[in-house]
Amino acid sequence: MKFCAVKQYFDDENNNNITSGASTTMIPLPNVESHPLAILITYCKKHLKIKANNADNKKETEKEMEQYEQELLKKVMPQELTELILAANYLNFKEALDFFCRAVASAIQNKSIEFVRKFFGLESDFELGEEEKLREEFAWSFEGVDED
Amino acid sequence: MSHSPNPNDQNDQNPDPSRRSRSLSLPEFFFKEQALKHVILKMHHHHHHSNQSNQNNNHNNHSNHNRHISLSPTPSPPSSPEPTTDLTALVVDPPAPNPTSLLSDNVLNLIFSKLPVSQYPSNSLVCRRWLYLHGRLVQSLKLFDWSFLDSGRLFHRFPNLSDVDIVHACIRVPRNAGIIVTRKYFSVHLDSSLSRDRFVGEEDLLPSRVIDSGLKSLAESYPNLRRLVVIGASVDGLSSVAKECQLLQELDVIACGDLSLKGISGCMNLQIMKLIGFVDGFFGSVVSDIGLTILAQGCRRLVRLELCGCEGSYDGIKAIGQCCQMLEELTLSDHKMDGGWLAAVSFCGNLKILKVQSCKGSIDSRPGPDEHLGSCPALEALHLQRCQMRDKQAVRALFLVCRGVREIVLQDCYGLDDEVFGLATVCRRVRQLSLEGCSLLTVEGLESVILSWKDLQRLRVVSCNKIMDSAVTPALATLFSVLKELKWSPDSRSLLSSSLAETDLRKKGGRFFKSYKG
Repeated sequence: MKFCAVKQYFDDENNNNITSGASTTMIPLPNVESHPLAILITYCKKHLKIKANNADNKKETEKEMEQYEQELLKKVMPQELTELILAANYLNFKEALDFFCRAVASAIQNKSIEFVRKFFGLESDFELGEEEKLREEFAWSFEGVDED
Repeated sequence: MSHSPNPNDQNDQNPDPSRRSRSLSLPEFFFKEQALKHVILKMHHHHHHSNQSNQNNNHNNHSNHNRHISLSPTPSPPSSPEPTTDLTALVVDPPAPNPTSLLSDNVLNLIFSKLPVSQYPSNSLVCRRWLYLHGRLVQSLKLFDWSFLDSGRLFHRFPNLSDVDIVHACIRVPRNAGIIVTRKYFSVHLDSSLSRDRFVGEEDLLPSRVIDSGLKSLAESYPNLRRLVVIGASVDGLSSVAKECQLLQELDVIACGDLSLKGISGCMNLQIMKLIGFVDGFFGSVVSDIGLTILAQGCRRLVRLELCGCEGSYDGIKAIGQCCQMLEELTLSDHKMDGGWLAAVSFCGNLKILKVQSCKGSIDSRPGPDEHLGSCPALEALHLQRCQMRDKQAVRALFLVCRGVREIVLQDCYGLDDEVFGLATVCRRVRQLSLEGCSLLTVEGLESVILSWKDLQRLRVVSCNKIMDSAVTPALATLFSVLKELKWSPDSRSLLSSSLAETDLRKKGGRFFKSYKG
């Protein structure tokens, strides 16, 4: 189910306004900017379209979807990805959330600490000696942290 | 009241400010703390709702951290939101909050789950929040530094451990010790200042009261512990583990004597146990019948038991057989058991796999008369690895006890000549045979046994030097053709070159080996 949050809203609305036939037109989404929302809507529509086209063949669906996703990623700025993730999370749109998280993961995979910080706009909030101490701990105090 | 579907990130980003350890001055608080700013903006919209949840979360986080020794100064909770409305009016057009800090813990964990775990150490150093989140993802750890546990840093950094190995932390070794000594299943880093006859002396091991107190704090911090590897503990330490960690399933106990096993008797759910008593050149503690009986009576749910370097005899094995009704796998490594223990194996009604490894002396020096041996009713597999098999009486007794077995594996056993192997004919139901490194066995000896095994379906013969392809008889060849699975490479040289193929040595030394092959 895509856009579960919105669906829930519709359901609640219908329960409340039994008398009024049509549902209201305005749904407040305070956490979602217009740009990511537009991308999400396009993503959703495309997904449904591809699914409808290849109703029987699951592999075809996946392949087409992947192609679309690759193209989409080229157009989207890396920094926008976090906004997209937030929007997808807020709207409870699982597939999109998963896809954008994968995109972020592949963007920061095997990159240095500094790169990751820059990507997310984070600053190191460790105190002076703390980072050094942590590195030491990673090297000497234990093992097995990078095993599954 | 406007309706908003509950976003799952709303509650999660509130703990952020409370985790920051610096106490924030007022200007910093409003202008630098991005996450907090967003909280303020949101509180402007939904004043009551977020106020409540904010306080709830702070309370939760404080009670969680109470147990842990926090090395950073205690965090100051964010100030009350009443002045907000005035101050947001003051701050004209605040910059947008950093979107990353809005990502909830769940979403971040989703991203982390898609990253290779080798990136974990580097990712942990990005910022405090990531360190915190990554720490919660780690479930299994091998400790090397006792002070990491002692100071409480371990519990603070990794609160969700379910598998802990503290053995190397209990052995005092200088940090940059460059030598690794491995003895069978145990390896330790050492430096070159060896002046004793042992690699690890008594004085190198932490005193057991220290280990016990460490175990106590470990057990209290990880009540969901599933697996533990411990060395040199005594009753107190082990009983605190048994008391706190009710879910403990797997326990490896090294160099703890008989009486300390009393502590384990509270481990009701223990299923897999490895007991290492004596390792030559390292440590010697005694596990005898007393210990085995205590263990058997305490841990009745044992499914897999491995005894390394343990003493004991018929009585100990009998106790295990009678008390641990669910025991399926029993392994004896380097055993120091008294003669006569084989006869007690038949008490293990559910035993499926029996393994005897690294037995330098006789498997059983005094097996006793055949009538008293009995046989293990449910036994399916017998594995003998690196065992001395010259004592024909012992080998015969072993095969008699295991006469219903369906799978026999003989690996690197010495003294296994045709006559000894002939004793295996008493096992009538063998379906699967694997021979590796049995250098005295010839084709005749092999043939006389496997032709009598009507149920044989799978055969594996690797690296048995005296078995010549040329000596294979037509009868044997016919048998081979009906087998479901056959791996026939008795030629040791072919084994050598196949293992060399894994390295690139063969390519480099190509010319050298060409002349060798002849």
